[in-house]
Amino acid sequence: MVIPVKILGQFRGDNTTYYNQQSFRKEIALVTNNGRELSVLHKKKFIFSFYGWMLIPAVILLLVITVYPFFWMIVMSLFKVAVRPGARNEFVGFQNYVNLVKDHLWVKGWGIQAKYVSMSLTLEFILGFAIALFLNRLRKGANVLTTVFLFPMMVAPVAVGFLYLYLFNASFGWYYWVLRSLGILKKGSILGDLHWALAGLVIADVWEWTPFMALILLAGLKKVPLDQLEAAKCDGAGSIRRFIDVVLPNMVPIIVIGVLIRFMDIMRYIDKIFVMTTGGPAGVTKTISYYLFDVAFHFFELGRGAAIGFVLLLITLGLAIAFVNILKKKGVQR
Amino acid sequence: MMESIVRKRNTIGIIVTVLVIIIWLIWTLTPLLIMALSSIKTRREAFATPEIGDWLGVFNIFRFKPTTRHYKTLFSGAGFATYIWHGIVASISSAVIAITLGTLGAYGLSRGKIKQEDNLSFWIISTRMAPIVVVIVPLYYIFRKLGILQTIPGLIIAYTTFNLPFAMWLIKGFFDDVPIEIEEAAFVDGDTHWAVFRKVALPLVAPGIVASFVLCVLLSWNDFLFAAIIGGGPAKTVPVGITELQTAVEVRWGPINAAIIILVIPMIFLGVLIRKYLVQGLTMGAVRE
Repeated sequence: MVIPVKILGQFRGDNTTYYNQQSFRKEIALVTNNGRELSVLHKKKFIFSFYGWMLIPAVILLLVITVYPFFWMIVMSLFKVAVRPGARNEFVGFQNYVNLVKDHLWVKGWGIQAKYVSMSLTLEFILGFAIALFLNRLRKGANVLTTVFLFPMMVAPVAVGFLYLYLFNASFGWYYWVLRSLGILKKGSILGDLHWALAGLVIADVWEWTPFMALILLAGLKKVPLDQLEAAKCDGAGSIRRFIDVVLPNMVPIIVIGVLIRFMDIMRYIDKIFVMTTGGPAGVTKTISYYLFDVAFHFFELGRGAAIGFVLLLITLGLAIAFVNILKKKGVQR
Repeated sequence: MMESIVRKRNTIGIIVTVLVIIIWLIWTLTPLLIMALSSIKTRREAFATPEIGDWLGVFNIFRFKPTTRHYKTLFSGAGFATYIWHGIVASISSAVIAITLGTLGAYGLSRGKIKQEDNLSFWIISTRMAPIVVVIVPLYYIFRKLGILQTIPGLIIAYTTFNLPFAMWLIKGFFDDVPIEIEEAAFVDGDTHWAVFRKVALPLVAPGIVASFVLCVLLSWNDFLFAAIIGGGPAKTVPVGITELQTAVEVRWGPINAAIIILVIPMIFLGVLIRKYLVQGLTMGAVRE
């Protein structure tokens, strides 16, 4: 094996008939490659290989702009951060965290967040699934329709907030007028009402993101194996039976992804709350995310804000990981 | 007999399907339509909702003489054109940084063999999960120390915190889809790593990269929180400009509606443009159509 390489090496440059030494060595490595990796590339330590060099700039920048702030957040949460830049910060240890437990707005914020998330998620999931099922029945026009359905997703959350602030306005809002005319709403306003304000936010979120649910569930429905459906049909299973026994099990991974991403995003954005209610009336829409915004950027208590943020981050990520793991244990994998 | 029953059920099914979809279309488009119409109405026309229960009054929506006065106010007053400019500069610069470094990194991540790959993946994805307010608190503090609050470069860096991991992860998915055999063939022909990347892999994922670029621009252009807290002051973007039309004294609905149309229309256009990649993009590559 070694000898031919040496001989062939003399014909370097004519690589249509002969391999030059270098690429011949590459080919030997390629033969032993298993799966996706080109093992020839891993002779050197990864970090010094070509692929390592490709990755390094991105990783360094990411370290600077994500990991460094993350550590600063932990540090900040142990301090009483001065409002004025340049003034000295005062070390308080875990005081910021201890105070959270006594802070009834913080506790209440979690409750409101839970209500907001669960209401939005449930509605978006049920409506999205229904729309996806109907769209899946269409032979023609589904493409045009899905394109129109994705409009709300492209609208900036701030704009969605203003859209609904306008529609819900008690003196000239059209949705307010419809709700009043239908007799659902007796009097007063929507976003200024203790019971309706959160529902108003949920409606705006449902408008914006149900199409997202519908689109990805539709993608999932298209991938349900037809032979399984046929087989179930032959066994005499009705459409509801087929839905429960064939369609749903096949959809689980997609449902997990959809619900997870929506959960993250509802936790993530507070733009709509900022525009529509600013946490009011009487704090009934002050979710934990919005409360954090209030503490950090209205009262400029950055230390306390960092503590709230760190706990929020841990719980958000923890819930997401737990959710994925529970489903993995049940044998569902992507 | 059997056949007729089945067909009958289908007709009802079709009617129900069409009905549901029409209702959903109306629900989706009405807010946008009302907003668009209000932006070309006078204040009196825009606020002309009928009496409660007067259903025929719905047609009030269409009773108006078009006017461009709100758009004129928007652009005559100080700033709105600058806000648009800031938005364009910040979102495109950040997208360029994110896509350039992200494409290189994604290729390395996709082809290379890294021991820490799981940790790296988790790290990248978690930046997509972290609530924005949480990210902003330390970023605000660091930027204040560096003195780049309320500047466009600061805003670009802030946008890159979410654009870079997003682009990198998404483009990695596109590279994963390229059959490795094509690249192997190029290697056997004696090409260098860089040549294989540039001549073989890159052209194959180019549409995906363009889609990722558009999504990065879209996310940054639509962003409000970073723009309000890290930016603001002399570095305002359109979403921040809109919220400032709402003051404690009055809400200037005419200009707000006009500004929202300006904010939203280009993004809807971009969204339709990359329609094919949208689901993949919004789910971090987890779901494909």
